[in-house]
Amino acid sequence: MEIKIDNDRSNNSHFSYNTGEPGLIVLLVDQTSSTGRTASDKQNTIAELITKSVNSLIMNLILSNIGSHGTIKDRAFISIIGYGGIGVNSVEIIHSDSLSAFADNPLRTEKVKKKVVDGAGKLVEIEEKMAIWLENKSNGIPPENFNFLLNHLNIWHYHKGINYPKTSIIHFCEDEKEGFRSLLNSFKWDNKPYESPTIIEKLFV
Amino acid sequence: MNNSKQWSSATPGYIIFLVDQSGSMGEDYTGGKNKAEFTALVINRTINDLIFTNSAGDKIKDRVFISIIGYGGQGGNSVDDIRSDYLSAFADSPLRTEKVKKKVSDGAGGLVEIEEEMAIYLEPTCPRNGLTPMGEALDFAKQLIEGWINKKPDNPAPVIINVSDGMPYTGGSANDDAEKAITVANSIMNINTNDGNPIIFNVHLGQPPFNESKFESSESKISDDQGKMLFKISSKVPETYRDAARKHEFVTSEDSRGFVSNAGPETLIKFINFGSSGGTDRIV
Repeated sequence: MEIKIDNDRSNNSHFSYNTGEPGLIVLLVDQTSSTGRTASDKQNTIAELITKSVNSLIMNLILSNIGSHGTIKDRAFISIIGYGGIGVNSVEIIHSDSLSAFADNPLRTEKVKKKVVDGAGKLVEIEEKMAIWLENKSNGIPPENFNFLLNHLNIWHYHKGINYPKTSIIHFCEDEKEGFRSLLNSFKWDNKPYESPTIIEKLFV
Repeated sequence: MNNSKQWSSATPGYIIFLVDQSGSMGEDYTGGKNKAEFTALVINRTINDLIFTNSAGDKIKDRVFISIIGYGGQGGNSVDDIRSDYLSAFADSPLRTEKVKKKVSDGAGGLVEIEEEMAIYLEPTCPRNGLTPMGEALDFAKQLIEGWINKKPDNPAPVIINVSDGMPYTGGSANDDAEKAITVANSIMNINTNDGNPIIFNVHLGQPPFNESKFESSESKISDDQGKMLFKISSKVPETYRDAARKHEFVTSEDSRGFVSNAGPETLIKFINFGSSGGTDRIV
């Protein structure tokens, strides 16, 4: 499984996982009040764009990991962690599970309109069901620091051990958050010789 | 005036489609079609839609003059004026018609396939020995534009839509070819008309997974050489075109350049519809 995120700021935008060495993908979501402002597309708020992007990424991960018999290959474990969404400087683990469990248990589905090629040189609109794992929120302020991420990674490895050495953090945010990158760049696993996490910041304007 | 003049029968607009017909356009693109076939399909459909939009009863209003220029399509560094005509002439005499299968809404969110006749004005071609003389094609377009402006000084500023799948290449130094294309493009974008400068929009056909770079406002934000090149030869999106961009789901800022690099099929269609819209579909 390979992941490429567009328009990102990353220390390694390509990373690959497999069922023998599954990865942990942390989707860190900015849900602070400032994401409630209108985005540059003038049609969505920043929070709406972030939510769409996260849900769409999870759907793409699921679709790209369907095995020959229709089962989902658990090449990754996904954690969605939001900050600000439930007020002040809150941090919330919104959903944390294997890829197949995400596929089986979306929060809900929603009808969305999508344009597809009509076969004759134009686009035609269709309606399709989109699974939703993250709801749109824009509330509090950023946390004082991102130490909770380090705890999450270490707790994860404490429970899962050597089979999950590869970790990636994709930060969906409005702007670069002070302390985030330097904290993760200096991160060392507790007594483990793993690579540092891959960090991707996907900025929304 | 800055690209705000409306297309009308009295003052028609001018669209030039520059079409890369080099050998690499024979690569698979989408839906069983190669890049040349899909590009021709989209341009043919766009012209048919323009004809439909500008029809009043049996009469076609000549609110736009269209040139289709192919480069590389006759092999080597050929540049061909495939067809230059008013809209009504296109409507009256297509090359031929072809049955195409088209998906339409079934009214319940799904699609149903129908077959319909489509008029064809541009045939797909991509000979193996066809190179990519983009600078030469832009030079030819420049001559067409200068001739048009001499005859039609009060008309809307012309628009070039360049569709390609690669960097300029005439068989010699790739850097020289790129420099030529940049120089000619800039000379076109500096021509003065009563409606501002002619516009150049560029779309580059990509390969899956289509990591698109589009409408960037700064070259420093673009990581690939292809995108940087397109940035240099594309006009800033005029304010009058930004609503059309939004309508086609493109995000622009006031400094955005009109280009897409590594375009997938949906984006190619949207981009050509945007570029040929006459701005905000400003038709009187």
